[in-house]
Amino acid sequence: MADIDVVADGIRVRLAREESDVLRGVLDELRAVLRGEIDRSDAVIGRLFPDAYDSTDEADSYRELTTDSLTRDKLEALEAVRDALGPRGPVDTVVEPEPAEAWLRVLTDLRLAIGTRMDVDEDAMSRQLDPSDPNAPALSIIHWLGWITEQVVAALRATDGT
Amino acid sequence: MTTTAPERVDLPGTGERDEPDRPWLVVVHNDPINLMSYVTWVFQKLFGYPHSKAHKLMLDVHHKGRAIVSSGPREKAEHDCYRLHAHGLWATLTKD
Repeated sequence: MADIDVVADGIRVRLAREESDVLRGVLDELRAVLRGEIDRSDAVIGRLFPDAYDSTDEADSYRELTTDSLTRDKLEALEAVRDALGPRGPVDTVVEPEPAEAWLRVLTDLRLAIGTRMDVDEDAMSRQLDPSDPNAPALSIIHWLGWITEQVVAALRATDGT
Repeated sequence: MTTTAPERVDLPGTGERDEPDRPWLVVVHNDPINLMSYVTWVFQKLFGYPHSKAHKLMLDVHHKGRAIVSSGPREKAEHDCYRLHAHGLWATLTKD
C-alpha cells in the first residue's frame, strides 16, 4: 500500500511497483483525453470543464475564454506528477508542498474522470466493493486514489498548520 | 451544525433584481466523487477561510446540494469559478 509521510522538506510518497504502474496508466489515459479534441458530448469533459452559467450563451463565452488555459493548467499539473513517478518501477520521492497541491488537483481529476466514465453515484461510492461487479476494479482505483488524496491533504495540513 | 443559509451575504432586496452592482454568486454543487476533506481544504486554500467556515460550507454542499462559497463583481466571481474548476469542484455562477 502507498505510504505518504511528512518529512523535513515536504511529503514523501512511496508507491509499490504495481501501484506506480496503475497510476502511470490512468495518468496517461487522462493525458490523452486532455490532449485530444475537446468533445463536449463526452461526460468526462463535461465534468472536468463544467458549464459556468445556466445560460447557453454565457456558458459558451466563458468556455471560449477559459478552456485553453484550464486545459493547460490541468496538463501542466499532470505532467509534473508523471515526471515525479519516473518512467517505470516503484516510486519513492519527496514532493514539496506546492507541487503537492498539484498532486491533489491531478488525483481529483483522475477520480472524476474514472468515476464519471462509470457514472457513479453516492450509493456506488459508499457501498462495499462487490468483486462480481464489473466496475469493481475501477471503483477500487478511485478509492485508492482517494486514500492517497486524504493522506496528502493531511500531510499538507501538518506542514502548513491548517 | 447548519442552522442558517450559507454565506448569503449582501444580497439586495428581492425588488432590486436588476440592480447592476448586485454581486455574482459562486455556487459549488454536490458531486458523488470529491472527498469532503479535499473540498474543505480547497475552500481554505482558495478563499483563505478558516477551517470551521470551510468545513461548514463543505457540509452545506454535501447536505443541501449546493452552497454559495464566494461572491463579488463578475470578474472576481469568474476567477473564483475558474480556480474551483481547476481544483475539480463543480462550480457555477448566478445572480439568483
